[in-house]
Amino acid sequence: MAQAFGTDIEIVIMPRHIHMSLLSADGRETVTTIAPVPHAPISFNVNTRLSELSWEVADRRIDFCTAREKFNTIISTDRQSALWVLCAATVANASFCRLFGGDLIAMLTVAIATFAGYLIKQMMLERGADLRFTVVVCAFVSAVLGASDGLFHIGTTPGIALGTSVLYLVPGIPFLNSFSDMIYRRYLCALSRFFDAVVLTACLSTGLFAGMMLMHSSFAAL
Amino acid sequence: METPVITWLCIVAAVLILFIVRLAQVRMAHHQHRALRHRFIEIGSEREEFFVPGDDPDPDYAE
Repeated sequence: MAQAFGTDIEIVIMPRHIHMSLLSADGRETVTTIAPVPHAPISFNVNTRLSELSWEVADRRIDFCTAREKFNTIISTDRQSALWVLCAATVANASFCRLFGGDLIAMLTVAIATFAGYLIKQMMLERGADLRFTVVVCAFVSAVLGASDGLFHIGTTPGIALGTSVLYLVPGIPFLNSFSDMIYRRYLCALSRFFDAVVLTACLSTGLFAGMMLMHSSFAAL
Repeated sequence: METPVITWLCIVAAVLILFIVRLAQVRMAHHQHRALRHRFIEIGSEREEFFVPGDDPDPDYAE
């Protein structure tokens, strides 16, 4: 995009800040800015629309002013429905249960556990709760509900239901981004994102462990 | 065996309460959105049609 406007750019992306330097074509003028990264939920809808905009700019199909107007519109209007995301995550996690060999009872249990956990996650994040605390609470709730099969001795795969009930909380995107940064030799950024993902995974494990302890469950016993 | 059952019941009750609260919030938001719409035909009091700044907003005014 910078090249499309006849400039060059250097970016350092950290989990909480972005350092950006814009260089003129002749290299005589440089503008550097540091901006904090706002904590916001991941929106694939916004990511997709921004990606489309970036290609429009890179292909020189729109000018700078039009691009800025479209950018402001995209970041201020997220068209995805919270209910749709909730339902999609529920179905996806239930499908994961099936992929790991769970029966229909386990799939239903995982669907209910995921629905409840994701609903709580949406409500807590809307109110500005810390993401790490939110993951602990949601993992705990999903683990308790996911242990229903073992508690009431229904179904044939209670262990799979318990294990897959918290999969929706796994921070896959931060892990993938950290590996991507590592491949491109952006080691500082890679380590930052990796530690962020590790902390979230630890929070997930804490909630899952607390749920399993209170439900007297274990994967071996189930 | 009591602790798991008590824990399960508490979590289920909490989730049901949160679900009802969420439904109520969504319904209220939808109702407020509909209330802001201008209705083409509406039965209302003449005070809403002929209000002059400075009128006494007397809730008992019936005519």
